[in-house]
Amino acid sequence: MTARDRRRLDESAGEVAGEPHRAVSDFAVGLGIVAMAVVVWVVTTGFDEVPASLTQGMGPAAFPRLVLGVIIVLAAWLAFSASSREPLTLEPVHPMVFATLAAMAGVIGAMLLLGIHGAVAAACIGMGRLWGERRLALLVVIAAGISLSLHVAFVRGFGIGLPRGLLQGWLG
Amino acid sequence: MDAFIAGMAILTDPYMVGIILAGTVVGVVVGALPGLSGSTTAALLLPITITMTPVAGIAFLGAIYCAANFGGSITAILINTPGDPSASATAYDGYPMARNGEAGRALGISTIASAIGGIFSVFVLIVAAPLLAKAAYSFGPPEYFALAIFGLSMLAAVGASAGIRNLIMGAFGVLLATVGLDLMTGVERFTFGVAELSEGLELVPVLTGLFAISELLVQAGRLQIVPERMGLTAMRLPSMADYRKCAKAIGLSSVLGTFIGILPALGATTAALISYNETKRWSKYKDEFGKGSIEGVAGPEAANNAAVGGSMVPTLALGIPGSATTAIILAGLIVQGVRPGPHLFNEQPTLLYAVFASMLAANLIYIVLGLFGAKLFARITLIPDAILWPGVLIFAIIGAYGPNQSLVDVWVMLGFGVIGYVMRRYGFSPAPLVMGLVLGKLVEETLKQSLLIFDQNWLLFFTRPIVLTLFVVTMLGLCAPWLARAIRGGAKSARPPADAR
Repeated sequence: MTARDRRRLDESAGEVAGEPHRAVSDFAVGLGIVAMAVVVWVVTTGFDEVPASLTQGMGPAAFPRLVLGVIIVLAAWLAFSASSREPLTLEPVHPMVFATLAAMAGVIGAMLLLGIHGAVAAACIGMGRLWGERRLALLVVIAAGISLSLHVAFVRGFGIGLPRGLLQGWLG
Repeated sequence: MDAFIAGMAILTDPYMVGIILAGTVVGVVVGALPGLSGSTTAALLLPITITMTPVAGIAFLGAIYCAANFGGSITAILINTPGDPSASATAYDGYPMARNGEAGRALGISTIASAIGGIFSVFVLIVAAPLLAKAAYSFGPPEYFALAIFGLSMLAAVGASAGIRNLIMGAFGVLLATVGLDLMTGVERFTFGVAELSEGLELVPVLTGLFAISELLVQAGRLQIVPERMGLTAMRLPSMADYRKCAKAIGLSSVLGTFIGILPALGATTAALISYNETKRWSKYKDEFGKGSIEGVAGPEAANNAAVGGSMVPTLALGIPGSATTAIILAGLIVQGVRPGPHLFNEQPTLLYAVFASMLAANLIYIVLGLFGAKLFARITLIPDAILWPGVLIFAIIGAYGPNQSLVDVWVMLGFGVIGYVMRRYGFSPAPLVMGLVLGKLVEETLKQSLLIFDQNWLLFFTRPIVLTLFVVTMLGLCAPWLARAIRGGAKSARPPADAR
């Protein structure tokens, strides 16, 4: 099977699984941005009030609101000029994207608990396995190599402290 | 002249030569790896440069920037997958050349054209940047405000729909720059009670999130796609006939690439695409384009490397980044305590000439690397994604955590990774957001200072000739794509129909 055939197969995977490609017009995208900008505008109403003498003309909320106004105008322009353009075709999000995102959160969690070396092990072995690498010994060697290199380069070489993690803190 | 000689003298310092060599090798390697662009790598390695002297740090980033554009052409030619977006035009003819068994010839001309374009633009940088800085020396807050707005407006110059999208992202970047304490009143904005956000969003976590993490998520969705790889049997240098054939393309594209690079916000990718079209337009062998034209490789390669030097001109002379990577280099300068702009030429001329020298050296180094090491660099693409990308994640985490030793920054990076992924899915590029984020503080500060000078009278902006000129140019730049379309439409409708003729 050639690479092109595989690509076609992969592209059609979503449709085979019953998830057809979705068309999203710039109208919807523009309106979505306007809605988000309005929400942020509401957030700016919660900024602390300051006396006019302190603001010297422009209050803390004035500039963000000015920028939000520009975003709203541009997004409305995108929405109302959408009829002259083809809608955007979106492929379904591959389940691996969500799995990878969860794995990344897991790696950061491992860093919180076990420090950078725990994160390296979680990333190299956990994500490596998730992404299809089956040679566990190779992943372990790579994780050990990266851990050692990071310690030599960052801690010894550049003098940058690496995260130690809660466990190391307690044990230390 | 003393500063020039002192700056160039870094090339005799073994430590600096080592730094430039390391930057060039890293640049070519990451440029060759699909998904890891020069801007991603510059963002990932930015924290490391904090431990270096300002000259070494910026020389390192500059060398990566120069070399990554060239590195991207290796995979564009061999596997039809540009390692760097700026090499996308190279694939149009580079890959067909590789399929015709001429991979070595394509890589050879790509190396030489890249080096000529890069060296030409560094000379333009040496001449133009001080002149531009001299002109900008008398600029006050209103002029800087107008200049920053002009820089952001150039985001619209790439086309109608993409232009509006880029402008929205640029404005979103400016909005993100308002996170933290308002310096004038001390009021917290968009911090949501997180103390670490009081000083604003750190650039490094945002950049690594937008570029590296979002790319990681994109790659996660493409794991099943196996690229087709072309073998590189022997590195055959281009012949004299090839050079003669490509001379016009290289010359034209070097000039065009440098000019496009100088314009704020338009980087190497735009330069390469425009140059490909212009090379084709002026070529005697138009029929060969798309089927393996050597000019089709030489033109975009000269242009994308010429844009590197060009984009450094506004970055160093005005503090307005010329591209996403120069926005990161600008962040690197700020982190090092160096404020780019016209005053830099008076205050630290040696640093500037050292940066110029390092870029010149990087261009010369990758001729050697490209001609003799392309086969080796091509093998880098064989690293499985399952091994490469977890390593990138670790570097991204360290990069985000390093500067402030803060875990909040790591979560910010992950958050911006998701934002970057969603943006890319809906056709928005992260580069304009970075431009807005870098320029945001300048825009707000200079606007507030200007209004204080003008006693809150906005109309007084128009009494300053430079501001007025910049505003007019900004308006023309914003309207240019639509004006061009209207003129083209008008010309078409004015033309009589074929049957009437």
